[in-house]
Amino acid sequence: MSSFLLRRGLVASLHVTNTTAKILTRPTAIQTIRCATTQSAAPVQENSLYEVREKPQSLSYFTGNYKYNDLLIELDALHKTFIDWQGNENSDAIEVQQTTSNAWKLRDKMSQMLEIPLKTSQWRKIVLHLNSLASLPKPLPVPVEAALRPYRRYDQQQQQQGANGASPSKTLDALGRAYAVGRRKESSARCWVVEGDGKVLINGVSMQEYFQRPVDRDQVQLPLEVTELKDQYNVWALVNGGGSTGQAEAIKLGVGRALLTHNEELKPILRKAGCITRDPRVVERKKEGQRKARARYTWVKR
Amino acid sequence: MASRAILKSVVPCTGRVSHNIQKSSLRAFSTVKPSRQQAPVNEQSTPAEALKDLVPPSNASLKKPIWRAVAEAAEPITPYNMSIGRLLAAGLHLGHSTSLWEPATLPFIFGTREGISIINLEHTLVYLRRACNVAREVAYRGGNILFVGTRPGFQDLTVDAARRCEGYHVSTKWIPGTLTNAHQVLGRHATPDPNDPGKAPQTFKPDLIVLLNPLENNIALAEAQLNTIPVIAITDTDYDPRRVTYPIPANDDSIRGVELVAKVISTAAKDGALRRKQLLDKKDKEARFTRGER
Repeated sequence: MSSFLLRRGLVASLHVTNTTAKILTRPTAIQTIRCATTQSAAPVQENSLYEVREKPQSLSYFTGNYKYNDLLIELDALHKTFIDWQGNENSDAIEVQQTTSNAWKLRDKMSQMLEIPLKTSQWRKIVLHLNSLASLPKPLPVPVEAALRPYRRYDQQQQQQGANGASPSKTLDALGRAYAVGRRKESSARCWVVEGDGKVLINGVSMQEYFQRPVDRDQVQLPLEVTELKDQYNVWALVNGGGSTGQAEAIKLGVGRALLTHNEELKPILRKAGCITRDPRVVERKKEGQRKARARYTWVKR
Repeated sequence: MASRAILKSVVPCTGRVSHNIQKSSLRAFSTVKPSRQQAPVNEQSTPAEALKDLVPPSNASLKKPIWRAVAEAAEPITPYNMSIGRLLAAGLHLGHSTSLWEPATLPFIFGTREGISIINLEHTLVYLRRACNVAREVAYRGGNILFVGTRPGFQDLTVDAARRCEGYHVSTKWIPGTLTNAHQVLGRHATPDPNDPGKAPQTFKPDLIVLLNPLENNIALAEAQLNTIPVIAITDTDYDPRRVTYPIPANDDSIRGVELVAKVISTAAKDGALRRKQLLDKKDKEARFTRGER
């Protein structure tokens, strides 16, 4: 094996910069210099060994995106430190419920906060790490909580919800009326539903006068009929735009939404009847090269 | 596992067997006769009992798993106490399938078994020591050492190796143009000079690259060659070792093996960096002394 080594010239030790092996004291049998640099004819200077040159600060400098990579390494290291964390078992059930859904800052805000331009895939990766940290047993260790705080998103709405426990926007007004808007095709209806004895007025006119077709009248009555509250509520609606069917269905939607403000439990019944969903169908636009939205011109062979 | 069958019949262990062997099947290579041949069966029937002498004495409660305690309590991984036994334990002798081999690796192959080539660990040791010397000398002269390991399992060990010796790492994708287009790739996120905002930011190049998977990093290798940067790489039996400056013929698939190689090289580099610090301190002291005399 020694002959193999000699043949291959593997006994030399190597340098990369211009300094020679003068500083080393190790004797070698055969000095074969195998390196990528070409031999420089210039004489070697002693001073170059002591030269202290500038080095990149970050460990991840050569990844091209060192701040982002350093951040991932930091979060990973934090996770590794607390991988065996056992939180206290006596955390309240309410606390657990509140913290199961983590709202992290969205991509733009997070880029702003970190001062790193983030792509969506990079943001997702960071969120993955944050989720794994946040899913440690509660209560979270102090360094982890401190590290996660700047990433959390605090919505105004969320704060209000947390305080009240219910959405504050939909309540009855001082006179006990529920207000809702319904739309269909080009019609929009503003509806006020209040406890009463079953009167329906549309644009100041009774329903029998306004809607000639029974179909339209049934549509308007549908939410109250389905929930069997026909004689318990009065409806006052102001509707404009569109045609009779559109207006009728707009009123239906508005009344349905207003009823929900009165009583949340009616939701499944109304949804099944189709009074909650806003019908998104509108007139399709006409396209060039065709006679109408879908109809094409008569096909001519030649 | 095929490797266990291979281990039983390959190179008998010439070096001493260190205690950080984690698979109990390697007891077959111990120079000491295994006790199960001599002692009666009922005494040491369970493997747990036979391994008792390997477990360090636990006067305090063990906070880490036993295998880790054994590995860390045994000799540390440094370039000065490498042996063929430790390389074998890490699985560095297992090459790739003989049908996929690179003929230029012939000098490093001990033989073939079960359809794979077995790397001669005597050569591995020699080349590993050479690579350690290179790393040490580069660090001694204040060079930047870059560890590149882009396989999914290599990320942690690459970062650890870089951190240990104050080097640098690329553990996710190597961006093409890192060296040849440094102005755009590396200068993009660099902070501009406060005095002269218009000036192009300064970019740096490494002085040594340690490639842990050269097969997937052809671009990195090509860039290093264009910039005359020497490359240390772990070359398996399906990779031409003449393509890199300092090949280390070893298995590049086993995470434990690559971890061993990375640790050894980074320890050597750390040693070189330490010696450099001592040298600079000595020079600094001398300079202050001469100034004080005057």
